[in-house]
Amino acid sequence: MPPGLKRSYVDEANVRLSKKQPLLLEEVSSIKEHPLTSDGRLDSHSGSVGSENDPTDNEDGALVGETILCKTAQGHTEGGKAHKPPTGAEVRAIKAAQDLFLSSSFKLQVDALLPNIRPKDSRKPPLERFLFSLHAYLSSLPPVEPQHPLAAARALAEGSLLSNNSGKKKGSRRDGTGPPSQMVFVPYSSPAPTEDANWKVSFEKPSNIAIVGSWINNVAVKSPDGQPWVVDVAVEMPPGLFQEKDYMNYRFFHKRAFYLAVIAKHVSDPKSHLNVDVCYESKRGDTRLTTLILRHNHDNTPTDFSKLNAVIRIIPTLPTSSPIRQTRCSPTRSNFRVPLHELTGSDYENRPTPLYNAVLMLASSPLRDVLSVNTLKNDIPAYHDALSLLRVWANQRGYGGGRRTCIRGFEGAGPLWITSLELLIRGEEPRGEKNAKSLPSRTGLSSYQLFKAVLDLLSRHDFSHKPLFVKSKGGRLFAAEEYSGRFEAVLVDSSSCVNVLAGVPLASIEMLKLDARATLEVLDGTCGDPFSEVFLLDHRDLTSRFDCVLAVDLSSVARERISLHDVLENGSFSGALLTSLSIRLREALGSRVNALAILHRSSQPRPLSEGLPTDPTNIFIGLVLDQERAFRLVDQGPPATEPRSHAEEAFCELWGNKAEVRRFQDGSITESVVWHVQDSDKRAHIPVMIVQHILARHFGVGSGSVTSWQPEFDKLLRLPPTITSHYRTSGFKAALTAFQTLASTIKRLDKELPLAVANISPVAPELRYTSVFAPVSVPTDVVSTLQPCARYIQLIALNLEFEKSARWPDDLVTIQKTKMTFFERLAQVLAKNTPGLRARVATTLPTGVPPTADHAQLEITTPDGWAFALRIWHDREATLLDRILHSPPATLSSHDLENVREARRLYTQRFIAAPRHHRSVAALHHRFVAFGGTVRLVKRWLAAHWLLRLHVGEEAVEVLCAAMFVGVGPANVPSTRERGFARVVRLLRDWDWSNGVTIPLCGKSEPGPAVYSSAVPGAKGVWVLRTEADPDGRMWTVDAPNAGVESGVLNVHGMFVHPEDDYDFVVKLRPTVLPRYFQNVTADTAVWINSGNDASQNGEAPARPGFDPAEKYLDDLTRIYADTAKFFYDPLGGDRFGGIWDPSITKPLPFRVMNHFSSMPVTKEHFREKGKHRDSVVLNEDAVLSEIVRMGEGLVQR
Amino acid sequence: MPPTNSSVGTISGFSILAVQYDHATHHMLYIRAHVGSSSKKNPKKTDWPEGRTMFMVNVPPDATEREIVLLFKSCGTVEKVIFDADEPGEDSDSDSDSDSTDDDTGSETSQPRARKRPPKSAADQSTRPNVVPLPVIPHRTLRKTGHTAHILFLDASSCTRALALARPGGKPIQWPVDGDTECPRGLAHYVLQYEADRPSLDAVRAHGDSASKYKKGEALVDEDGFTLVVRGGAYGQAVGGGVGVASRKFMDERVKRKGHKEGNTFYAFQIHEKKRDGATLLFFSSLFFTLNLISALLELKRKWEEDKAAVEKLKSSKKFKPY
Repeated sequence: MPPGLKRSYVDEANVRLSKKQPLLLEEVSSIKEHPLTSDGRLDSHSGSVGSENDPTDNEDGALVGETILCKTAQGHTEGGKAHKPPTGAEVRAIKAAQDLFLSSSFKLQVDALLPNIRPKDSRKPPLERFLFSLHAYLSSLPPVEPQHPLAAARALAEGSLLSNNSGKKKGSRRDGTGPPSQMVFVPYSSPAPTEDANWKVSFEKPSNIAIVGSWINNVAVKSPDGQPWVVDVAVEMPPGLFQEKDYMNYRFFHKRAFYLAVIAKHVSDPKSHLNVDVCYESKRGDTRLTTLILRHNHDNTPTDFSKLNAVIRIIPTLPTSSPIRQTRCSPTRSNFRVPLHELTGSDYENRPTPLYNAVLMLASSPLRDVLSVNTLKNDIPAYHDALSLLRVWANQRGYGGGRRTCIRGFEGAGPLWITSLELLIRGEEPRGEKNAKSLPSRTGLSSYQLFKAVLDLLSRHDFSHKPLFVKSKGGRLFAAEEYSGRFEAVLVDSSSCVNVLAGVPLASIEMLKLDARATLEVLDGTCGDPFSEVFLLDHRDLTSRFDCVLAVDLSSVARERISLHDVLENGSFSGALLTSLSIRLREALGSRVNALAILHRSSQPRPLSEGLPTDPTNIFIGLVLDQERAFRLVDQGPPATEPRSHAEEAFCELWGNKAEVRRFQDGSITESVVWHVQDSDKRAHIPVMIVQHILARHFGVGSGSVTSWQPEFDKLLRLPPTITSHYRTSGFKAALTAFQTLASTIKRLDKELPLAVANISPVAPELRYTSVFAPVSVPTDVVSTLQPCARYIQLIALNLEFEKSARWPDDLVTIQKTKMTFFERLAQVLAKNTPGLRARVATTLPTGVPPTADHAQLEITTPDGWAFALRIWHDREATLLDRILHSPPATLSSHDLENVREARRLYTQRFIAAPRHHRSVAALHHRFVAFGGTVRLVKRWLAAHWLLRLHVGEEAVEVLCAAMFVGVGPANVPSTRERGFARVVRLLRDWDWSNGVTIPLCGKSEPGPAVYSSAVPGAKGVWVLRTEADPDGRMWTVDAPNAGVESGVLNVHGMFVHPEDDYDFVVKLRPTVLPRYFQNVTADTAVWINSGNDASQNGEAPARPGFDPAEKYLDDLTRIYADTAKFFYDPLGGDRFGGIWDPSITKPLPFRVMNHFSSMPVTKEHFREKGKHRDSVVLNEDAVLSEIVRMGEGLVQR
Repeated sequence: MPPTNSSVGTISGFSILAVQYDHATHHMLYIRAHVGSSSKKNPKKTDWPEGRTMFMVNVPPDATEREIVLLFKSCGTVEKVIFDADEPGEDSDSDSDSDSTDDDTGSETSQPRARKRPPKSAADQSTRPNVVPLPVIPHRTLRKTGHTAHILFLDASSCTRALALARPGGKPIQWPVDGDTECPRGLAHYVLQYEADRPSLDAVRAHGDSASKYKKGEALVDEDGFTLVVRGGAYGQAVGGGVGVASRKFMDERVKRKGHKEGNTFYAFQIHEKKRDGATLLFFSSLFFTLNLISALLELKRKWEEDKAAVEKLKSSKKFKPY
């Protein structure tokens, strides 16, 4: 086959020619064979097939930059003459890459991406051979005499229809000795033709067969999820089959369905020797758009194109010479009649049917589209790449096919992308009214610029009010007024016939707008890797994309709520239902949401024996909330007037019994809806409650059929009610109040202290809304009523700063003693002034910390039961430590110097970094409603996976979560903690550990981001450590939440249960003695309810704020076995911990005095096989485990 | 796996003493007689008497003196146990026994973190006399695994007997785990530690006062040179919260302004120099210009090549398949 053949497909002349007579490929290929300029450019992009077309030919093109770019790219991989000065052409190319793209590396990345999303030329020849044989076969099909539609359908199903016809010619076929042919039903739209139909269906061989769509123009883009390429074949039905009035009452669609069924019958017949699987497919579940899908069976014949992973889609089209006139399809026309008794008034009879008409118009568009795309592709070199980028972008966001859920209305949305690019290039048809600026035509843009311009258009255009018309040669077919109010959104293509947004709900378009805006923010932003964010990452995860996700089971929908007119207009019941649903929800949620989307599975091919597609039963509703308005308690409607206004009626109709008339503070009396909630957790549920209310009121979907995962997540952050009932007060606000009370008490008492108190600053997650559980107060008398396994009292850390004084001692150790004196003084004074207050000085000196470091704290338990831990910040310490570090005295040993360094580190962490961190994080809580909740969920999750504290610090989690909120642009900020959590998990999953993240936490408001840059590498170190300990990295791949959501059953609880298989050893602890056991994710209430025999101990046990033996135990183990094993433990009441042996010591090592692990000599076999030194030792695992158990006596469950 | 008696032998000059934790688990102690330091590199190190001192390696992390005494009860009386990890500032692996066995100890970089006692330790008391120590509730000290100890026996014969325990064919001896009520393990240990860390306020006062010499109402500076901390410091009376923050911010801004100015002067200086050069050497400047241009172009190309190399690297790691 000549290589020019492929290109000749694209030829305009070819398509025009093929209208007149059946496609004769050989002939056509000889008529015209000139290499397309853009083709050569394309080849050089891929780099693999560039040899046949030398791109140096066309240096003089309009977009010289791009062309030469490829040349340089090629030349250098061969030559590698990097030291020579670049030639002029190269300089131009490099400059073009920098100027026309985001950056030159972005350009290179785009070039690397494009070949991966285009079909491989080497796989095409079998397909082409198959297309020839298909063409020949279809052109030879025998006609079917006009028959009554139902009779014809019955005959087809029985198999008698075609065999009779063919039998007339070739009698031998009647025997039917071959395998029984497939049962084929005619996919008549519902309502199917009736017995009294006075029109006939018939079949004649196609008047034209042409390859159309993106394949023929070579602009196809790979489908996501391994879905096949689609090669569209337009089969033109001869005009003789139709009558002028066929646009009425689905008659055209019924005839089309019959035509398709006949082809299906023939093609699926084994005697056709095509060897294909044949299915029906209806995009969007619309029976009017039913097509035929041919998939070749694997048989290694020359026509076997199954390696390409492609299917052929047969689309019956209407010839331009058909008797059905285009003017009948104006959006204002009413083209089907609903029987009167179904409706309430006679005026409904002539209700316009714009969607029906739009679908009718589609029947003649495929060939036209091929021409316009081909023209564009030839005119604008960057068009092809821009279209590819746009489609990859859309596919990654669910605006298209794929096995996962797609957004309602965007299935098969290819024309939309083509048309929006067309709009940018061709410009907009001048608007009728004056002063209205229409979009200009833009031709000289690069592919990236075009892509960005489309996103910009999508993100900014107000589709609901302003229709868009691509400039067309023949002017407008229908006036703009005819479109207004008929469609939710209007974008008419260059043929001026088709509104490509027909049937796309406005809500979905708003989602598209939001995504476009988010992408532009990423492209304009500075941080991260914009390329992979925009093109490479899959953004279809529901949980990280939407603030609220609801799974709705539609099987219980009351079918009578949808009018017959709507069903006919939308082509199916489910189509009408989803349209109505999105309109209602959009109205009800109003400004609470930035966008809402209805998602469902994309339509799947169905066997020929199924005439109608099955309606989707499970859909998802995703809400992207406006964080300021989403959680308001009152929806105000129109003002109440005496004769109820139209708006009032509509409001009441929408809300039903929820609507009530209320008087507001400003004196207005309006219709309104009030949502009653008990606590802040419930308040976050309001948008979901609204959706549930609307579903129940308008569609009869009970709450049992609607699943939302929010309550499950709430449960994770709440303590068991059997414990909380003992507490006096709880909550972040209460903790803050208690802190302020204490601070003011101390300040009031400062006359009795040696120095005035300058400042008391909180440094605890409890006081910045980021502790996993809301802080609680446990008064001393309550403690004794609690079981030992629920007696934990969290200490809330504070820093106390005295006024500056020059009279502090100048010796580091003495400074620490002075602090203790201050504490003692403060304790006495406080206890005297506040009855019931307890204060103790604690010298919590972690092992290994020198006495020069800060080590004393004052633990205060207020009469209400709040526990605080106070430390003194004295900035002289830093000076003294730095002095030693800068010029160490000669007498100082290296060990002591290490101690000083450690003391300095502690100082910086406690008194410089911690307060600053606290302020930044507290500020984030006030800026982003979901921030605190996100941090709490992530902490809980990390803790449940045994990572928090020992491996990932709480502050590190806060910084990590902040990355989801700051620097991502407003369109990407999560508004609920569930989404924030999902995004963090996603980040952890995708994170390339070798690269750190930079989080602009401080923003502009805070001075000195320098400290943070030091804190972030700290966090990074932790992650790196983690990956070293578990080289498989399996920990992070567990339970990405989305997989669960899409299958409809997300097990939230299960995500927080840790698998234990990856550990070398797991030790069980006794839950009854762990003071934090009640915080465990899987806490067993029986542990504290039924253990009555421990009651005797309760009385004697005093309150010990901050006492957690398990935590201490694990700290000790981590220190003792620092070089032996890594430990993993859930600090929130974990009743088990795991460990992994350090991989470096699991093999025999030479004996040393300081081996830092418990060893034993290798056995004889061991060193014989290894040939090791005789004095080798190995880790004595049994002894270590035995020691661990021994040191945990009383804690470890035997 | 319990070691058979035959496998218990010597390793690098140490006898191996198997200690039984429970019926199936054995811990290995490496013991040998202590050899005094031959070199004088560390003169202040205590010289333990040779002959009746035993050097023990791989001491269990939770071992107490009492437990070691009990371990060798059958051999004689232990006078003292010195845990090397407790010696402040000591490189415990450069043990005075500087014979051939420790050939690789010099390269040992990771130092054991010497566990410093809280301020009441002897070192503090020597420099600051008369400090009232905080009350000590004795509790178990957990040291890093694999640490070493020196055991001083009362007489040489006990030491010899103890070393003989590790002879080949000897039975593993039991680690004395039971019933030390003074130094409990596990949960009770942590309760004890919690209480020990929180002495009574009186004790704290006595301790702190003695250390910092502060007594209310006394003179500001005492004769020892210890300064007392009282109200009215460098900045006079406290002015409420946020003093420190405000001043730091001010400082930051000053620094910033300063830095900015410096940049300007530098830049101006550069311009000036350029001008002067231009005025005097027009020809050379044009030559420079050309060279500059070429170098700029080379730079441009270099960057381009760098970007390309980076993308190629990504390509090889299959990063450009969107789905």
